[in-house]
Amino acid sequence: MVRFKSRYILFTVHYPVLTDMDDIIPPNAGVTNIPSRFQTRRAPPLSDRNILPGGKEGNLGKDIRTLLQRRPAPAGVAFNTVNAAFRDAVNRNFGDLGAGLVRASVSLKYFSEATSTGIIRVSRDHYRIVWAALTFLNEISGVKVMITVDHVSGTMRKCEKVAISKSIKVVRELSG
Amino acid sequence: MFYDLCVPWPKAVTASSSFEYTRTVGPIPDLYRTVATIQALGYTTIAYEYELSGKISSNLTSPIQKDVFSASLPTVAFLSRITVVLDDAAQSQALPSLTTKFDILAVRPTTEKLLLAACTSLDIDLISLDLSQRLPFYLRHRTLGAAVARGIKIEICYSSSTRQGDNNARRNLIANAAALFRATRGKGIVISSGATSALECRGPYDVANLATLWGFTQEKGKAAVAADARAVCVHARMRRRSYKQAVEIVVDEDELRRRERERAEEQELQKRKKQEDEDKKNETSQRKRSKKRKANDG
Repeated sequence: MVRFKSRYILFTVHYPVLTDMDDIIPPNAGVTNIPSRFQTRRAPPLSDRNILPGGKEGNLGKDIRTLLQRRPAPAGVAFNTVNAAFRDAVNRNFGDLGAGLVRASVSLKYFSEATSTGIIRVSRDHYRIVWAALTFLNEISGVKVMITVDHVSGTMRKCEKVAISKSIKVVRELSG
Repeated sequence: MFYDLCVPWPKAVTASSSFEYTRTVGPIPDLYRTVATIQALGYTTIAYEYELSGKISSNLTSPIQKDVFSASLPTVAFLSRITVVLDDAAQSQALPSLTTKFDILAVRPTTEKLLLAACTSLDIDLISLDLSQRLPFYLRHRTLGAAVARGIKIEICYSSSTRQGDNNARRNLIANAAALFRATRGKGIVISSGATSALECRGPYDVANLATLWGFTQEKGKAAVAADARAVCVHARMRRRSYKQAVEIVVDEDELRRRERERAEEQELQKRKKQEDEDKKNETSQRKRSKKRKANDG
């Protein structure tokens, strides 16, 4: 039996020029029964004076560099805005033809605000269009972003696994 | 192992409101953000670019401080690179004087004649055309093929397509990149960022996917940020440090020490192996003996 083949694109939204780390409320801020060492630490503000002459860093260490890349979504980046933004990007970069080709199959399956990762499903023949549109995307509802694709796979399960393993890696890096 | 061969060294506005490259030793926060982002995306070699137009003076000093961020980004190798905008044939005579000052030597020819000269005779590593503008000449396979045959790569900077709000540059880039692909048959192309802000750089696999839009295959797109870009660095090194790109004397003491250690380890390993073999032999012979004894008893 021939079934409809699709691709699942696992992507991460980065905010490399966002300087206000303070405006993020840790996702588990209100929860009190979590042991203190598992609670999200509030990151020190990313200010440029942290970089000393000669490239030495003040307190802008490895942790912050990881956070620079992977962090919770700021206000304005959510499921519906990401959805609208990438559809708009397909429209803008590939015109009516591109948008028409992917329209029937494309859908944002998942977006997590805590880790800024999401999964898009699209038909196998046209996944490069959506991927390129994500690459060209540089703003989601006013927030300057950069999107990288971490994994492309034929099943959502595999994407999930990759996402989980990446998150584990980040947590390990942050906790030393 | 991914390479980003073009990160422009920041320019500062001077009092006379003309752009000049920053020479101060001090915080260059935007550059740090860019470089840290590129590193986090998986690149391991980054080349700072210094663009020079006009006459090459003999006492030119490089504004690039290669190791400003080496302390905080120890996994990245930093290189310096100069891009000479060629608009006069006389400039090419001064090119060898740049050898000692920069790691990678790139040129940006502005006319077809100079492009031909760059492809066939100049001693350079990289040809970098400004693809965000309409090219003033048609790219011929014959011209670019000569460059590819000599091991000189041609560069595509993708940042003009990821920069915000410049639709024309994006269209030009796609058109020119497709033209480059046609003219070179996809051989000898290097893709680098040219990012002036952290927002403009992209991950290596995303770049490879962009290359598929321009006509490349996925593997060639990946090679353009990895193997071919590495070839540029090797070419540059051979140009600077070897005789006729063939002979190079290298005394790498760390490497020597490492080899010594490895040799010792190997000997140790072999010794141990021998010992184990003997032990085994003894064991089996013992076993055999005991078996025999059992058989005799039975």
